[in-house]
Amino acid sequence: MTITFARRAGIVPAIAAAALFLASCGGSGTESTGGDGETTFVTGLASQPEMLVRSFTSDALTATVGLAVGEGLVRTTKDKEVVPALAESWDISDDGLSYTFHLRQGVTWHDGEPFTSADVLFSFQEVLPLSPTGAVLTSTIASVAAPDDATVVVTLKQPLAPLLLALGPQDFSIQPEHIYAGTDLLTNPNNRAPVGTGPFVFDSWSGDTITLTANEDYWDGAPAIGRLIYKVIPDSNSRANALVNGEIDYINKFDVDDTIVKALEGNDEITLQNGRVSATFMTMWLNQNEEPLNDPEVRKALYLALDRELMSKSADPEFTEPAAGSFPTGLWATDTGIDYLDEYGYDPDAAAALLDQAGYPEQGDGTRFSVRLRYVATQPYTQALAAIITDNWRAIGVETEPTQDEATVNSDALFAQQDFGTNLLSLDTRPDPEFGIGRVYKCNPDKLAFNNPTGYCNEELDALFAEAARTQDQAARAEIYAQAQEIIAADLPALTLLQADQPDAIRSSFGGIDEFLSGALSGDLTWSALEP
Amino acid sequence: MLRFTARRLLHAVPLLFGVVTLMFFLLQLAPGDPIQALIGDYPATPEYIAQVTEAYGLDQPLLVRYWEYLQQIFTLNLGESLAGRVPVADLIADRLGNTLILTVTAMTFAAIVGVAVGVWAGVSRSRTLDHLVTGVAVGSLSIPMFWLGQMLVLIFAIKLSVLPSQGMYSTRSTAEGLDRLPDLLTHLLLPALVLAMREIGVVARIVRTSVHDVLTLPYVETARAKGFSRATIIRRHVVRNSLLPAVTVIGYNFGFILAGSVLVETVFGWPGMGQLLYESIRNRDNAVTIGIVLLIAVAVVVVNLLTDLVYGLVDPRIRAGAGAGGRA
Repeated sequence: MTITFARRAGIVPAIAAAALFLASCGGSGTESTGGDGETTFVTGLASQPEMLVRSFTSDALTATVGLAVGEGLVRTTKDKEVVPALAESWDISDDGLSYTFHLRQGVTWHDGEPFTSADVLFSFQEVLPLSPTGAVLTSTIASVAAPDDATVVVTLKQPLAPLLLALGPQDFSIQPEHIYAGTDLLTNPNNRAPVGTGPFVFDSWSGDTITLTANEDYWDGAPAIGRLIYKVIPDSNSRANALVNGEIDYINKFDVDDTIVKALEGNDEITLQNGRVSATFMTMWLNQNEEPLNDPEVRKALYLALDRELMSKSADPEFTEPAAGSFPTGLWATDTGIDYLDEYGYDPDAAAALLDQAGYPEQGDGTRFSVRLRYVATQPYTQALAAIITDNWRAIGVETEPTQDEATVNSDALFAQQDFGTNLLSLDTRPDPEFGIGRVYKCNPDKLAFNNPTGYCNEELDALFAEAARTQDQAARAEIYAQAQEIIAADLPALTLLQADQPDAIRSSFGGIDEFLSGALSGDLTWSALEP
Repeated sequence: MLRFTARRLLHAVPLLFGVVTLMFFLLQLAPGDPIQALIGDYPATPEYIAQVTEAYGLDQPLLVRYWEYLQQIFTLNLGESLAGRVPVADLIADRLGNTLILTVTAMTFAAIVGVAVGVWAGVSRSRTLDHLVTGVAVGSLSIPMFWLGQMLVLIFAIKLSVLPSQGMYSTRSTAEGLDRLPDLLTHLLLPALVLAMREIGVVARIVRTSVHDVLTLPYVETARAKGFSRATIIRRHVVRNSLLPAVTVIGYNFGFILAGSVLVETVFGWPGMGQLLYESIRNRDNAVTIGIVLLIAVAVVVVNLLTDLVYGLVDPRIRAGAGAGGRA
């Protein structure tokens, strides 16, 4: 009798489970696949974008979505070459002070209004000052004029060699004057349902899903993909699983972390492609307000004691390499005569001897001093690196006191409080040394975040960076940067440990992947090049 | 009954006020700067940072901001999200339904399976079965949800490819309206199961103990003496009377299910409130965080109240007591 009763009670969940399972079998029938312009391309995002107009935020995810809709005057390829976008061509005056942009003709906004120089003028005057990454240009720009519908002239106060690199869509996308004029730009509803000139038209943003459709009137021809869908999947394991399972087709390199790389490596259906954007350095700053880190000899000894080959092997041998200098390998501005791996190659004995000389002998218990190490545990590779650092330094009698921080806590401690000894932080070198590398070493009296927090301030070095920014000729700039690299190598205010480059992850079955991933910045993708 | 309900609702006011106050100040105490979180890994100029800080009113003294926030809340305005400048209420409204679909399904599933398993173990004379059920119940309580979720995804989505790994609908699906139901159910199965797992254990254990207790009561003896079959006794006398503690546990545990949904929604990419809460905490989007926690607090208060009311329906003794104002 007991058993009869139990069976009956168990029937309800069993039926429910069976019903759900049966339902699952019919669930996949509604998917659309193949067909010209019918194909849907799904991108997995790590979190909800803040808005869809990148000019008003530095949010990387905003760029991944928003730059399929909006465009800039120019774009930069991964070879750091500036190519036309909304500006078809441009002339630069001999003194480097005046830039004349000739705008593409016959382009219309997605709402049908024509695109003209008035939009560009408006964007320079009203949009650029609100761009977290572009606002820095406003102090360099003297005036902007639109002599006719197809021309815009930008006049600078002083030459800025990498100006065009700074006008890419990720820092400055052109916005429609007819929608924004006279409104509060930051709260304009267009920011979440943007009207642009790009290859895809905004369709909807509901919950965790954003949908764009092909712009049939795109100036470079209608895209072959009919629909772009962006789906938020916060957990990186889940994101990797969804890509393996074919539920999504692409993860932008910004949202690819080491968990995802490990999960996808060796899978033929997925292409992992790197080398697209400026390299990232896993950087260690040494706080020079603290003893004994203010002693350059101590900094050299600490660097000599670190086994960067092992770090790269343990992090990811395919997508990281030991850093060879303060500038990334392969960049035009990098002085190949400087090689940290030669000059400061792994040598614990030399490190110990250097510390003895510098006046930090081993105490009775075998230690010399201890150093704090702060890092963000969720940043790629930091955990593995911290373990190696602790081991390496212990071998020369230096104790490490590691602290794992959450990202915002870490930046507060580093940049606002200068409450650290050493740290680990992944820093993007950006397409031009002026924007990505200078900040690591230049004086930083205003305590700007993500700029040198060490208290190191060398006016000679600052003057070199300033001169390089003003110089137009690339070869001449490279010479100036070479001098800067020598000073950095001698003073070592920061140690570059690994040069890393996270790949984009995309399903291999799509065509045009190389061109799709030809832009220099993580969110600047050539969406119109994708083919089913 | 009405007075009882009104009094309980009135009690909720200081509680919710406390939640808002505590959250507001705790989030202020949390290290990390919302503006820096907003700007991210980029060296913005001091002028830009000052401008943004002022735009969000974050340059005001803490108590002024607290007072302004209270006034806002009083008019049922949850403020604006720092990141997207969207009203928090809109963001939550967008997600609330999805979370309810997940949590109510999980809750129902847990109640049915939990009660069934609990009764089964309770009335069984087999010690092995009893131990087995208790063991599984304790196990389901101890397994971390995110781990179980990942394992189920690996098995059913990646290895067997019979279920989707994440989301609420197939991203490529173009179905509309009711046609989306099968798709939804497929996506619902794993997250609801994971979310229900812990509660199944809790409910099964409580019901099992309760059934054991009721079986020893004199009226069961009397019923048996009257010659009723065992099945009738269990159905009419034992199960009904054992359900009382289960109702309490299920109702009061609704808060746990909501809390659990944060993990489950994150693992399964379920576009609900839990995912929104996870993102808002990561982005230091305090208005969103307080808004969601406040809503969860309201939900817990309401569900607890409903639990007490259902309690009365199941057990007439309590209804009578409440009517006389005697229940504390």
